[in-house]
Amino acid sequence: LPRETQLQIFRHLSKLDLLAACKVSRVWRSLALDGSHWTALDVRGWHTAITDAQLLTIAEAAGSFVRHVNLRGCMQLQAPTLNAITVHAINLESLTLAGCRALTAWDIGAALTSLPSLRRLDLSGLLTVTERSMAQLDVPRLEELNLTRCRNLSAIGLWRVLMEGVGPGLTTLRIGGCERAVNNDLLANIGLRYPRLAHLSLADCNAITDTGLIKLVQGCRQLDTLSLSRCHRLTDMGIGAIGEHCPQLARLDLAGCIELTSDGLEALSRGCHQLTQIDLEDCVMVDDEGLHALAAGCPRLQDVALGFCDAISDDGVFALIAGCPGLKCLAVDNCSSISNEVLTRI
Amino acid sequence: MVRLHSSEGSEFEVERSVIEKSLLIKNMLDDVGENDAAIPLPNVSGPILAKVIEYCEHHRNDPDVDGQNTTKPGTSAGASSPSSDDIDEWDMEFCRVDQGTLYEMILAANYLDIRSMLDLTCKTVANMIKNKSPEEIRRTFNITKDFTPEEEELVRRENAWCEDR
Repeated sequence: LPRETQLQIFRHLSKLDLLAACKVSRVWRSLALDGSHWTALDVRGWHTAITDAQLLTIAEAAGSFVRHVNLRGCMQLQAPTLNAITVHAINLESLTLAGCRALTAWDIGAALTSLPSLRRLDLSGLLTVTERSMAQLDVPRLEELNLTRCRNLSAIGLWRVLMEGVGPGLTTLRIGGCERAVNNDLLANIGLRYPRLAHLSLADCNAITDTGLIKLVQGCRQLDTLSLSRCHRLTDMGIGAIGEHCPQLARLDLAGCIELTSDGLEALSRGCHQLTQIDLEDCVMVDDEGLHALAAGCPRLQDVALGFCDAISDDGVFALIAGCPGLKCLAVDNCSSISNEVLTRI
Repeated sequence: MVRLHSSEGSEFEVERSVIEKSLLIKNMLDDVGENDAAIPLPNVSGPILAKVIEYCEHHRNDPDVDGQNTTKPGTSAGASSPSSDDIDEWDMEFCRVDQGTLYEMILAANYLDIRSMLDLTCKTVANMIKNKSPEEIRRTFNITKDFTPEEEELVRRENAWCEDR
C-alpha cells in the first residue's frame, strides 16, 4: 500500500497502539511516528508508567505538529524531552507541566521562552517556577495561566510574567497560594492590564487587602469567577466593591474571609445579581441579615456553602430558600444555630 | 445502467445511482453525460470490482456522506479517540477476506474515491493491529524485525513501561 494509505490505517489507532506499532519494524516505526498522529500528547492514565525515552521519541516525532501537551505528573520527564517539545513548538497551544518534578528551574527557564501560539499554560505546584526561570517567558497569545501554589515565585517574578511575558488577552488566571508574589500593587496592575479577565483565583493570597481588591475589580469588570478564599484581611469594604463593579460575577468563593459581615454581603448583593454559587464557609460574622440580602439580590443562587457560619439561624436559611428557587446545594454543616426544621422545610 | 471494464477486461453492469457512490465514476459520468461507452478501470481487477459493486449495492440507500468528510457523526477518526469498534455485521462479513484481497479493496476504494468503503477497510486493518504486542503484529502481518542494534536498544529503553503488551 502507498504510504499515504498506510497512514490512513494508522489514523484509526490509539496512542498506545501506535506505540506498540513503532516497535514492529523500521517501516512501521516511521509510520507510527509520523508527526500527523501526534498533534496531541496526553499522558493521562499512563503518566507514571511511560518512560522518558518514550516521551522523547514522541516529542521528536511530533515536531511542529504538536498542539496539545499534557504531562501532568510525569516525574520522570527530563530536560532534553521538554526541550524537544518546546523547541519546534510554533503551533503549541496548550502545555501542562504540573507535577514534572525532575525538571530544575534552569530546565524550565530554558524551555519556556517564546511560545507564539500558546493559549494555555499550567505550571501549578512547581517549586521551580521562580523569578529567574520565568524571566524569558514570552507568550503573547496566552488565555489561561495556572500558577497555583508556585510558592517560590517572588513578587518581582510574577510581576514580570503578568506585565511583560503574557499578552493582554488573558481570560483565566490562577495564582492562588503564591503567597510571596501576590500583593496589592500587583492586583491594581492586573486590573489595569486585563480588563477581559473572566476567571481569577487568589485563594490563600493573604497579603492582599481591600485597597488592592478595589483597584482590581475597578478594572476587571467582566469577572465571572472569583476566588478569595482565606484572604483573611479582606473586609466589607473590599467585598462590597465587587458588587459595585462586577455585575456578571457568577461564582464567588469567600470561604475563610473572617472579617466579612452581613454589611459586606448586602453591598455585594446590590450589584451581583447573576451569582449562582457562593462559598461563605467560616465567615463567622455573617448573620441572617446577610442571607436576607443574598435572597433579595441574588435569586439565581444554586449552590451556597455556609459551613461553620455560627451566626446564622433558621430564619436566614428560610429566606434563602424562599428567595432562590433554583437552589440545588446548601451546605450548613457545623452551623450550631440551625435546627432540624430547616431539613423539614426543604 | 453503467458498464464498467475491469483490468482484465471483464464487463460489469450496474445501476448509475448505485455506482455513483464512487466519486471518481460520478464525476466522470457528470462530465461525459449519458453515454453508452464502457468505463475502463485499469487499476481494478474483476473480483475486486465485484466486491466494490457488492458494497455499493448494499449501501445504496445510506445517507450521502460528504466526500470530504471521513468521519461519520458519532464516530471519530481523529487523533484524540479513534473508534473502529463501530463496524456493523454486514460490513464485518464483507471484509472477511484474505489480507491481499483486503489491501486490493483498500486500493480500489481509494482509487474510485468511495470514502465510506475506504474508511471501513482501513478500520478493518487497524482492528488487526489493535491491542497487540509488537511480536503479535509481526506474526499477523508476516513482518521481520529489521532494527539495527542501536535502534533495538532504543526500543528497549522506550519500552520498559509497556512490556506486557
